[in-house]
Amino acid sequence: MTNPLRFARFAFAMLIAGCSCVAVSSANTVNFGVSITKKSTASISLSTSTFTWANITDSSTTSLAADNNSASANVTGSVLTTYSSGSGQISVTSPANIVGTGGGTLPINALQIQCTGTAQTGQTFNAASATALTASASTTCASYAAGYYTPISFKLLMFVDDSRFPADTYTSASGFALVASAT
Amino acid sequence: MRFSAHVVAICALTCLLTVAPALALGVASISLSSGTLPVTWSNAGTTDTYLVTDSGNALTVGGTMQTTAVSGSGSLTITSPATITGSHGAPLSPANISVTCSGTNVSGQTLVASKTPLVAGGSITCARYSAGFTSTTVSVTIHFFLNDQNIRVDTYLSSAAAFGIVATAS
Repeated sequence: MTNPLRFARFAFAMLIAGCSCVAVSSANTVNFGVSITKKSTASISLSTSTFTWANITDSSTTSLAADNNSASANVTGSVLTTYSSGSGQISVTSPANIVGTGGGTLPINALQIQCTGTAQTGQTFNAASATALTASASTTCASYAAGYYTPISFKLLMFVDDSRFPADTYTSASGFALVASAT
Repeated sequence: MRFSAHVVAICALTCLLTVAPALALGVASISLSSGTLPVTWSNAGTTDTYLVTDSGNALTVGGTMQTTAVSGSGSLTITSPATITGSHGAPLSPANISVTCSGTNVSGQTLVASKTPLVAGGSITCARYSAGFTSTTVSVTIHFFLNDQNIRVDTYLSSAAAFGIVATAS
């Protein structure tokens, strides 16, 4: 014959065990990973296609500003360099010396560039003051450190040393380029 | 003495047999039913707030969700690591990734994430389930979007278990 008291104790134990079990919730996890690749890029634009000196009347100014320097020589865009190991630069490439309509020669190194704007961490203006160009070569305007991502916005100014070429009309419809690169 | 012991025993058994079924365990069991891992953006740009994954890849999880009547609840949450470090050392916050959770309209299921940014080192709720919800065919699709505007140039690959889709039920 079953002892009622022992049976009651057993029943209480079962109840407590049951209540303990039902307090537990259920959880289940599906794990996943992500892969993201962002590549170095360089993309710029220049707000003018021509720098003009329409009326040079002397031959003694070593850095005569182009007529449209202040108005429209804005460089904008982006240079994104790889974190910790990348680099970038914006350069001006030049043609050979320019021959005038009357046969005079304007040496490319009579032309100068200046790159100027608001200071940005990781951006260095290599041509912070008027810097002579080199015929058939490139001149660095600005360079960028690893991990650079700030939007590009500065002015490219041009000057000419009018003491270094004879009176004539010089036109170079092409041959100069502003080149941006990044790694 | 004998009478009271019997009464106690009967009460205890009655309670065990009637209360326990009402407090049935919540059950949450899901698995990945479709989608490609890892979730990939192979060509992040610079201007997108919500860049879709390569080929629009999304993850669908499905399974069982059962919550206790009256007092239970359930959820699908997405957990994220504190940061992801690129191969060149650049840090990327999971908060640059947003998710939208979608699925068939089911009574008791509420999909609560719509282009919701993940929380670095935390979690967001994707779906909630009300008390008494019972389904063995729960299916939720998670679309991922990347805000690539402030991400440094680098290649980021998290561990396969860095993120989690967690189903819970009580």
